[in-house]
Amino acid sequence: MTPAQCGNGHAHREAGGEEVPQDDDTVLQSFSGVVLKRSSSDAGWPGSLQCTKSALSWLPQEGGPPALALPFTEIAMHAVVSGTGDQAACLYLQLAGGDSDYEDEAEEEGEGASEVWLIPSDPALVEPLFAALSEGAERNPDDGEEGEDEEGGIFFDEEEVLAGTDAALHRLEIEEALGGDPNRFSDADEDEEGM
Amino acid sequence: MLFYSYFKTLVGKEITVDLKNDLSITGTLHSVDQYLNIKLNNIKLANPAKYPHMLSVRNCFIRGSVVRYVQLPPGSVDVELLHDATRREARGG
Repeated sequence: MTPAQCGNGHAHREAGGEEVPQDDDTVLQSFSGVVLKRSSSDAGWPGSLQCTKSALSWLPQEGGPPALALPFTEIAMHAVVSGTGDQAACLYLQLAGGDSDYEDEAEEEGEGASEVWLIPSDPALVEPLFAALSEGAERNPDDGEEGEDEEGGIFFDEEEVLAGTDAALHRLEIEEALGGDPNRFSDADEDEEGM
Repeated sequence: MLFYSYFKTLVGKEITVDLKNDLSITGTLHSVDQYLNIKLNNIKLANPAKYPHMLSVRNCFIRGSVVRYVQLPPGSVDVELLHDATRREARGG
């Protein structure tokens, strides 16, 4: 993968001058000098980070652990960790795993790495990194496989809601039928013939 | 879009977000988008002992799809209004 300049989101141009649409491998942002940690006790390893349309990829410098390709859909949460005396400012990521059973998986796999730390050698990169991850999440929403229907996953008590609806419609029907005479509920006059 | 519109009215208020992985984060709502991705500032954890390395976290971005519950400040919920709006959406209005 050829490293690209920061912020280069332009379409490529072929030799013939035609525009080629941006593909999923286009690097949108890149950050060099980023140390990756997979657990809090990890010493971490330096490498470089790139953001494509749908994933984050980290490539190690000179040997070290395998490269990491992380779809943005798998990042449950990311946050800026302030620098302290012991530790430089960095980005903390919690991973989701993507399955309904991911909680079990994360606990079973020792190496499941449900947490990731990204530590830039230049602390000024922490905020741009946070922004890049936020934009990645925004570009990659779930595609509604969770049975979105029209409610968008909103849960409500159907009986309660429909009961309210029925009552309101019932009131409207009665109003129409009676023609809205304000005196319709008045007592009968006393001198009128009773039943 | 109902809850997106509703959450926008809560920007600046303190809420607690319960994630599906049982992490519970309280913070000031900074922003929300149509996918209910949530940005919180000045966060604190409900159970800090479980994630000690989150002590010095100030701001976070939570992916909408991993949210289980959002706990709202009691005074800022107009239950009647929400019920009415939800019924209208359920009827397709």
